[in-house]
Amino acid sequence: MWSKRDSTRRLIYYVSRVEPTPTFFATITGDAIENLRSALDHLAYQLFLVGTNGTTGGRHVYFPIDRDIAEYRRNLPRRTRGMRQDAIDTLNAIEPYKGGKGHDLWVLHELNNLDKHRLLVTVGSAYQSFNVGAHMQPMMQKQALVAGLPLPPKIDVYLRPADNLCPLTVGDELFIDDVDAEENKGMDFRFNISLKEPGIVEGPLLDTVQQFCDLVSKTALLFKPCLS
Amino acid sequence: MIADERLALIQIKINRAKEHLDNLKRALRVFLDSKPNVVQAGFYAQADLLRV
Repeated sequence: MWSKRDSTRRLIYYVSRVEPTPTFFATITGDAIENLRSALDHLAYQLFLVGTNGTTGGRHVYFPIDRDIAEYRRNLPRRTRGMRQDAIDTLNAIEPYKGGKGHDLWVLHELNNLDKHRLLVTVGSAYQSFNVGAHMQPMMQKQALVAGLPLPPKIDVYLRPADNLCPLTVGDELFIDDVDAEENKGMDFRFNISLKEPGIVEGPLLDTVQQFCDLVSKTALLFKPCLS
Repeated sequence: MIADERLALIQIKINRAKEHLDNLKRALRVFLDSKPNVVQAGFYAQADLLRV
């Protein structure tokens, strides 16, 4: 049971119920990430086959993605043995390590390791936006009435909060109105499902997975000249 | 094997990821349409919520 302590008199819009996010979202995200990461390893293997004219073997071949440039340089010769120099040059240009041009490949790699070896990726409800137009509507109507002007049309303007509060929990405050403000039934709060792995990636789940799909497709195409 | 054939082999994995993404889109739509989060308004702050 919860009690209220009436102290600030500021009207607060807050979350009173949060439905748990189905585990399925995290497992299917992990599956998508794993397929994308292994697509890169398949790419590396094709580069090896081209470089060695179809020699068998290649168990040492991985698409190199590392924590920093030093680790990348250390591991590169072992992972790319047999590849042609143009393939290695293309890899170097991509900079597939944390902080490099290919930083997002490192993010994909880290999420894959997390999902495979430790935990499901963290997915939860998040605060996406609220309609500030709905908030301003009563004030604008009041002013129009005072000034004898026609009532302003309803305008929807959705603003993104600085903190998406992922994973959303009961009691999270979404908007703090004026002292003694009347509740505005037209206030509209929108939510999405986000991916949140501190230090790795935070963002809307669908957009993030879509970006990974695009990134891997684009990366594979960069190597097309090295595959013939 | 020409370059496009090799890329097609890699594309199989990417396409599988896209299938997962499509399934995820559908599942998320159903979940969000069910209005899983409820908002209320009140004259108190989160810090003032007291369990009694």
